[in-house]
Amino acid sequence: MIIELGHFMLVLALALALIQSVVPIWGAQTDDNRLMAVASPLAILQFLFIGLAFAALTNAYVTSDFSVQNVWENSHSQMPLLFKFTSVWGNHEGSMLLWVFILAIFSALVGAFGNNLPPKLKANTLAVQGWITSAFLLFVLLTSNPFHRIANAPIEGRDLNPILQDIGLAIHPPLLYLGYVGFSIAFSFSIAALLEGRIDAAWARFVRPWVLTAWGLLTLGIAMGSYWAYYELGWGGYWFWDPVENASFMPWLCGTALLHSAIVMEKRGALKVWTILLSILTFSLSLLGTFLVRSGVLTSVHAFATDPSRGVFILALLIAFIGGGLSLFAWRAPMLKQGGIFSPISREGSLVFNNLFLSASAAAVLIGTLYPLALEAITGAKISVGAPFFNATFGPMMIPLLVAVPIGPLLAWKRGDLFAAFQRLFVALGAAILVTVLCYSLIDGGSAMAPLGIGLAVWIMVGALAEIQLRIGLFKLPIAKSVSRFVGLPRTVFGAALGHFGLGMTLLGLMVATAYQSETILVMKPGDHAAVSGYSFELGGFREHSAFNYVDLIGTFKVTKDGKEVTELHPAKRVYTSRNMPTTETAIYTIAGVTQLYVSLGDKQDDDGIGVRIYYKPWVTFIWLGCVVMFIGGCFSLSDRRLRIGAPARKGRAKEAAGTA
Amino acid sequence: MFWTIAVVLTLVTMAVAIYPLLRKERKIESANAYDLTIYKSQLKEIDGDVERGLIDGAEADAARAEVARRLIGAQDALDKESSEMRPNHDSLSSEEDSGTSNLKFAVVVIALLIPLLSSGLYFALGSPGLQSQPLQARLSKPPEQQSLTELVASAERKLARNPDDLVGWKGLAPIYARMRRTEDAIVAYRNILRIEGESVEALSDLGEVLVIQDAGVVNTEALELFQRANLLDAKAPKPRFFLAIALGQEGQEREAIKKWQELVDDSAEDAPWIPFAKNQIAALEKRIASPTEGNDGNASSAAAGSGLANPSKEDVQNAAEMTAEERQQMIEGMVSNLAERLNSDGGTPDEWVRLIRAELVLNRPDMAAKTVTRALDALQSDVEGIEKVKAAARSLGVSITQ
Repeated sequence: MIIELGHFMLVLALALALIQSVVPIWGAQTDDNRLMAVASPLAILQFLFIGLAFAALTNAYVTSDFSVQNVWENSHSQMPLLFKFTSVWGNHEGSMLLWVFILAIFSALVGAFGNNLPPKLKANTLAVQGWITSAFLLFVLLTSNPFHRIANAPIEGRDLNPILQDIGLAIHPPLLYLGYVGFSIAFSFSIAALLEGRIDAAWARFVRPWVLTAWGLLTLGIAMGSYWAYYELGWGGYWFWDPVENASFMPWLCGTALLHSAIVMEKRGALKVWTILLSILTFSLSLLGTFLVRSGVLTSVHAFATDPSRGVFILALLIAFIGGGLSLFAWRAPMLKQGGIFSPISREGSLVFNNLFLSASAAAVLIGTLYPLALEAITGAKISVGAPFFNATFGPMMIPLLVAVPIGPLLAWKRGDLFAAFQRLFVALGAAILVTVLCYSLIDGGSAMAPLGIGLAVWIMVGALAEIQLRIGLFKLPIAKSVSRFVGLPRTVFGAALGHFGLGMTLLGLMVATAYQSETILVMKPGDHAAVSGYSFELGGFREHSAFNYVDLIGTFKVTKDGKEVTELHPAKRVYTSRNMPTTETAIYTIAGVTQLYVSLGDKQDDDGIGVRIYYKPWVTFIWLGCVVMFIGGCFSLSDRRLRIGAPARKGRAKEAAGTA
Repeated sequence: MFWTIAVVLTLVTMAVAIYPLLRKERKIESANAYDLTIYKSQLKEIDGDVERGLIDGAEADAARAEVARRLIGAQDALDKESSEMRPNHDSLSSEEDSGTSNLKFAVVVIALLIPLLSSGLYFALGSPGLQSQPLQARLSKPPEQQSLTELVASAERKLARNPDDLVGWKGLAPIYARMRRTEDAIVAYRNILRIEGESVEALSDLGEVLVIQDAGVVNTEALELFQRANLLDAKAPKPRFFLAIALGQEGQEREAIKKWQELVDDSAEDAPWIPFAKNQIAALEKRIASPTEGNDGNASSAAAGSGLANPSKEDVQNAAEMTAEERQQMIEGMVSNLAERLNSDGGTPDEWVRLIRAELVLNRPDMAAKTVTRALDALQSDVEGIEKVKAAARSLGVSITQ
């Protein structure tokens, strides 16, 4: 009964979403407060219904109810409990339900806490959210229904794809979806502004928290996906320029641009139209990402063409929302008032520079991702566009952008002084040059580019600290004064500095790990030794261990350095019995939280030997720690009290306030 | 219960959607008033920034001037708005009328849409009345209420805890065989053999499922099992039955006929395998008379008569009861399943060899030759596998073209 109630509530949510799509807009057009007031309760009730539907499906998974087709296809009664929960979204239908659920969460948040919004903006925004929710609920109900039942329930499920039975990949999709879907709010605000033909003064302030939230979670989601690929696939790689990765990276690039342009809009009222366009584009890329991953078009254009019902549905949604959004933009944008002039060398100018390079690099990634698909569709040839393409296009565009990162925040609004900014950054510049020279002279081997890249990372990190130092007058003012300034510094300043510092950390990790890593791939027998970067790995032996729905072949490696024991590592080759599918379980030892020793097992050889990959990855954790720091920066910005704005006081009270002032 | 909750949910939904429409109308605050609030707070922020020494005086003045300009603009727009509102007193009542009719329309549409859409769509997509079936509850039901699959699963769980439970295996094995879970049936019969020790029944049952597994071919392991069973009891019909089939498959037609004849002579007249055995004798005699006939494409009768694949599909009793057409269909179905799987997903060299043999059983030498080619293609990188397939093809007399 619970399942059927869940299904019924999902259908009710669709009815609510349809009403929410029309009635509030109608109210905004006819200035009718009551029609507009429908939006918030509908959004909140939808959240409740979709949430309960999601809970019903989760319950079916946890109790292994194989009368639900989706549960039967994607779970197994012997699975660890955690993965029974996570397999709810480890499949197409469930993950689309999660997508809609997150959409409903965001709509409900706007509905519940949007009392400070001008009523028309709120009504229109929620109506646009209603369009998106209706479209995706229809998609879920008609093409990807997770509540489909089987009359004669099988007795055992077909198990979840083993590669998904991992904590990293369990957390990754919800984070990613929170990011993707979070951008829908920016999209809805933009469409609402275009519908009304006016941009409220606080528009950028309303949108920025949502963009920050979406961006922060997307950052974490991408980092989590990358770390998962690193330890689960057993190849020691962290970014493959795979279309699925690109699908999440494009909205991130565009969203980062949006984050910055919204600052200009908020502070100076400039770049309004551009910001609106960026919001539309960012969410469009999120939708494109969803389409790429969910339609099956990536596996094979042909497979997509033979069973197109889902793909065509998402494609239609894609065209409706992107095409509709951009057409509305082309029609209404000229009516919007522009504001705020600035000279090219200014804070605004530097943010335009940032936007230019970020959107161009997003375009490069877009081309690299879609070109193979277009080619396959037209000629049938299957090619893959990999690292060389992206290194040649994306890489060069990043360099000027990264060089400019510390300079932007030091320029004044309206008209800045580039020379003065450089002067203030002399410490950062000095540190960068010093580190570059040291790396070049002290470390043998590695590419010649590496020291320069490391220098660039140091420039960004020290530059980010320099900004704080300058603002609080450290070393210039008395220390007590500096401390009080530090305490009083707006959180957005910390947010920006942390965001930039994290970016520097990620870059540093990428550069050091790529240039100075070492690896050995060999066949080892028990008792064999392998040496990597001064560490000695001795294979002690193997043992079999079976638990839950898999069997492990676990190797024991004793790791020593200069005769002293460092640690013992236990990488495993895991076979999931029900699908007879192997996965690698890497063993990783982190030295000082920074450098990692990484051992993964390959195939067992005939003669009792086993393929072993051993990597020494210096500073590799910086790649992901940097992302975490970026996320924390986002949280700092989000907590800035200036992003919280009040509704206008009622007339009477306003007069009172004026009287007392 | 379900319907009660569903109706309550629908009513709550309607109430939530309609309630805001029934409230008293409130005046909407102008968007310009919101803008005004923002500009005022921005002015305060500039003061705060100056206090904290974040911006210097000149910068602050410029920023204040800019915000003040916008503030005045917003104030002007607000004033203009309110002065425009006043002369409109006359048209207000008609506006109110249109507002009320809008509301009525909205209420009616909402009141109709929610119940109609939700019930319509749910009836089309849902399975009303279908109960939840959590696995634990299904397996702990009393046995008489359990379905066959549930019984099997309960038994499996017990056996997983206690793998030496002979009664459990004995109960499960024939059910597996009937459910065509051949792999599981083999495991079950192997366990029976392990626990019970060698007996005619245990040996020949295991042999039988091995034959089923191998698409009707009595392979080496099965042959050995039947021989051991035959040694234990030379009169037991099942081992003799399969040993006769094996002889036919090895091309020893005359010996096979002799064995079949002996089996027929030793059995009661209504024994279920008699018609089958007679059929076999006839087919084998035909093959001796015209050894090439099998290749002329007239596969149906020859294949059915050859008997090579017959016992594969069912146990002996069933085979005897089947008509020739049914038998033929069953073999063809099994072979084409195997072929489909191998063609789409590939397979092990042994599976390919099994398919080639099965096609010969069906008297389709052309198909078998094609299968050899496909197997060699599919096994491309597997040198050992290719050799295995080639060797098998040579021994079966299938030409290899590449």
